[in-house]
Amino acid sequence: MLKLKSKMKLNKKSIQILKDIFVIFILAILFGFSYTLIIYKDFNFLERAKNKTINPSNKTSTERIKEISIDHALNLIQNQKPLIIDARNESDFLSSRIENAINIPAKNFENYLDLVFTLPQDTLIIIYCEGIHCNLSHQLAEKMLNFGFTNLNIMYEGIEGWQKRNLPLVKNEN
Amino acid sequence: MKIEIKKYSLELIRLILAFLFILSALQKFKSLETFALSVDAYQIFPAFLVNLITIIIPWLELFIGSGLLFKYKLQSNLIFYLFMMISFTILVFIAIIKGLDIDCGCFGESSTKVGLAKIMENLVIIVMNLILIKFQRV
Repeated sequence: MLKLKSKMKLNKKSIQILKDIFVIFILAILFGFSYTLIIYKDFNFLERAKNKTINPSNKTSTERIKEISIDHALNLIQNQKPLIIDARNESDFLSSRIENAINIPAKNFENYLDLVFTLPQDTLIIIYCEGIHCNLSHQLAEKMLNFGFTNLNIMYEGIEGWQKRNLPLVKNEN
Repeated sequence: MKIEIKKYSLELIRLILAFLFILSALQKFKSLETFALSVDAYQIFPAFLVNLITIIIPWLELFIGSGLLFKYKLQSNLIFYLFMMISFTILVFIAIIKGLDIDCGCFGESSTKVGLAKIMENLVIIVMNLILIKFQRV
């Protein structure tokens, strides 16, 4: 009898927990959709985010940062000898990078100011990070823009795109 | 004395868990688009699910974190928290198996990369959660 009572109590408790979880879930849906409708007026975050990353016309807040394809980057590399900057962290840079690229990690920009100050502000710069899902190039470009750099280009397909096209990479074997 | 230590340890764990979820939610709110890209980078969900996750997850984290902070429906919030952490850990695990080199998306733009360290981090949180579920009096 006692066992049955405690079993029933446990069942009641489980049902209550399930009910609570359901309520929290419904509340999250209601708040989520209302918030999105009021603030963004559009539920398609993914498409908007991809457009921001890929579409050159509205990728960045300023026209001084251009987003370029790998073909465009190759053209610049062949004809204008740009400075290529890898915006990923140091370990990613060391394991594989585009030839002649230097490393200025977007998340550690402040520690690379000595290097940044040695670069002429009108240098033609190509920045890349991992791929189209990576935001580091944009973060670095915005920071460099604040330091007066005027010729910033983001290769939005990143090193992933570069690799997919079998273009040469410098790899650290260790 | 022992009981006091246990009580304060449980309170501390509760506050840490609450803080983690609330911080995580607020970081995601800063840029939901970045969060959507992070979810999409796992290459598991179709676009409509990515959008749905982007819309709902930050609010779930905010509600559950607040529930823990204010001790409201503690047991239910803890179980939901546990369920979410297990799901996140499975996702990170799948990303590792797929060989993806991506940000976990856990803290919006301040996220770290997926990897064994992330799984260990999640496991610590899961253990803390289990301790609370077992010992916290509701």
